[in-house]
Amino acid sequence: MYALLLDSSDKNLTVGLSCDGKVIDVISYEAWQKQSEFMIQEIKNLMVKHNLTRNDFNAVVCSKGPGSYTGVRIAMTIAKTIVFALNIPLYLVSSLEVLANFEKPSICLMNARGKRSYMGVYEKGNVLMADCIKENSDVLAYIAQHPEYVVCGDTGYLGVEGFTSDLVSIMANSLDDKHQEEEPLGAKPIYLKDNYDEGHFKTIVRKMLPSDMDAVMAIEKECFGAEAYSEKQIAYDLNENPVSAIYCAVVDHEVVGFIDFMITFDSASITQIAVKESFRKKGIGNLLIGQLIKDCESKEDHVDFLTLEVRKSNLTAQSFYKKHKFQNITVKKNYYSDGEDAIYLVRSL
Amino acid sequence: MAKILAIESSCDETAVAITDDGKLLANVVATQIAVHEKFGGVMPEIASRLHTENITVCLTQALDEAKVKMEDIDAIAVTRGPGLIGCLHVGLQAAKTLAMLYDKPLIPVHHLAGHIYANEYVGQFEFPLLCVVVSGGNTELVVMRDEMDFEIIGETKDDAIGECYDKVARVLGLPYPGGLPIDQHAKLGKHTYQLREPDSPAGKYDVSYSGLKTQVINLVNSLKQKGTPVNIDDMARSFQDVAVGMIMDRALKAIHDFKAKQVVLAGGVSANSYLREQMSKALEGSDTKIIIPPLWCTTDNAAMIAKVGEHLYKKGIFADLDLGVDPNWKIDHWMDFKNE
Repeated sequence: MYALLLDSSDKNLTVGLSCDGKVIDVISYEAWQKQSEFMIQEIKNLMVKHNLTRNDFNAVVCSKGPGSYTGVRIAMTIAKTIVFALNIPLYLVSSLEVLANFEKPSICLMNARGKRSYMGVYEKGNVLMADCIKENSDVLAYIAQHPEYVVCGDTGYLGVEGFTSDLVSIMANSLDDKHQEEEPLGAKPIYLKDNYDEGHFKTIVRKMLPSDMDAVMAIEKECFGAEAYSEKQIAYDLNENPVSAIYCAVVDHEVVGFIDFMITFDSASITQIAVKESFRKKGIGNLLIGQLIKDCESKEDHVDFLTLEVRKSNLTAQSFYKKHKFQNITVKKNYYSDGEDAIYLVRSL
Repeated sequence: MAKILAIESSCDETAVAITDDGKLLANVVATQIAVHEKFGGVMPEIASRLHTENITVCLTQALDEAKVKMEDIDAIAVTRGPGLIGCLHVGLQAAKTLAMLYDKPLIPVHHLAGHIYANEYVGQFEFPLLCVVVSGGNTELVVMRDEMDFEIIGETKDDAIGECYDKVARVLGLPYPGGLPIDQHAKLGKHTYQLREPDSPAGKYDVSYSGLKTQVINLVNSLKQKGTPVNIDDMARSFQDVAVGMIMDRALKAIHDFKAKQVVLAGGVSANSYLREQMSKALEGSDTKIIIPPLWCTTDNAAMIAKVGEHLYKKGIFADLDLGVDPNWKIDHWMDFKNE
């Protein structure tokens, strides 16, 4: 009886055939964004070559991500459709685990773009560090701290040479309880990269809509009290001010925070950033700042600086900005209407 | 006798249908509307993820409903485009997998041909026929002189009419999708706001909706700035009069010029009661008949894909297993699906 092995989580298209845990044939080549067209044809080719019918398969092994979103979905959709049709078990393997060296502890890596990597650490099939997404600088630091570990994967993008694994053999050896998917019909890939996970939504950041006004005003009043902007001021930034943008952080329908900023030529200034009290210290401020930086990076004119003013007495906010690499530049005397000084903070991009 | 299994995943519905010589045996639709409502529009990446999660569940349900086995199916039809690329990939992989495993013909179907042919569930086509294709992604006037013969004679030069409805609904604080709420509010309102049809684009049967959308947004914002409350009913009515008026004007010209024996409405916006009413009224007592699709056919489904699949099955139009998707496939190029 045969197992079909499928991987399209990165640049390659890989279709393998194994019999009793031994790989008997493999087709693997670079097919970036072409897996959708060719994968089925390659499965067919293998079946014809080995004179197999659909009833000769007794299992499908598929990499479940992380990796290219579309790529992961292609192998996963094919695998799910086969196990649905033939009523055979589905085995899912991490697309990082299949990169591992089988002798030594392995740091398995894949380019996640945006200066980040998908990373998982494995030793002889055991997980030392669960698959996650990390800044490339952190990955390089981890590699330096673990000289005895093998760096695995197509890691040229890090300037490091990576071990090339026998991917299909690892897949062929994954037909065990640990990798078997209990509900193959509902199986879904592992994406890691954002906040949609486990069937529900965590925080998303999106442009403010006119219908968000009431929620935004409630947060505005909660956070800034007597100093709060009027609805008119917010509406001006939302609808008319050509250099400003407002983004909302939304958790399950509810607006829980927002950022209002202006980008003018080479600098961006934060007009307001606010998070509802009950949602603070959950990383929502980070997401909002992240959105601002993303906007800055998408501008044609290069944006060099982020600037803002903060009340001298607002130490919580100051430590938040410090964490985000803002630096004290100067104190603006009597900046606020009640006479309090403002600290002027700048961060270069 | 042919049993067709059809798969549709071009946007925010995962759908599987099974037909037996035109008779609908199963029509399963897993809608994602509740998810996309939160964002005020379809998020392509999330839609693609949900398709991957739902596809085999929908297949199982369809076989159960139809009380058939995969071995009984004669051909697999699938939406190849137009649509959201990541979403199309999912349905295509499932369809190709089944065609490969069971060695059955794979039929590539154009999504809008599906919306047009959905009308065959309620009436018979007479040619020449004018199709008014109006949805969230498309606004086209298509002339058919024969079965599976499509000529696009007019289209939107920018936004689709449904997209325009969704955006106007958003500005008015109405839910997504915007078609139904605007239609409902319009029934209660009067045409009091000054909105006008944007300047006529190039072709005689072409339309432009982006200008109309901008007019509504500017008007609503300037009223808000002045502190004047916006009458939602009246704004919806004023907008709908102009939006539907534009497409009616082009359609009636085309019916006359092409001597259409029949008009069919197709696509999501064909559910709009005002469009249905205006078109029926305009053709009353004329020689041109009208087919109005049942409401279940105005949203995406796979029954309509199966319907086109039957026609192509009879003609023997099948694809190879290296079939790809085409998010921008034009209906008059529905025969072009082979890889170079």
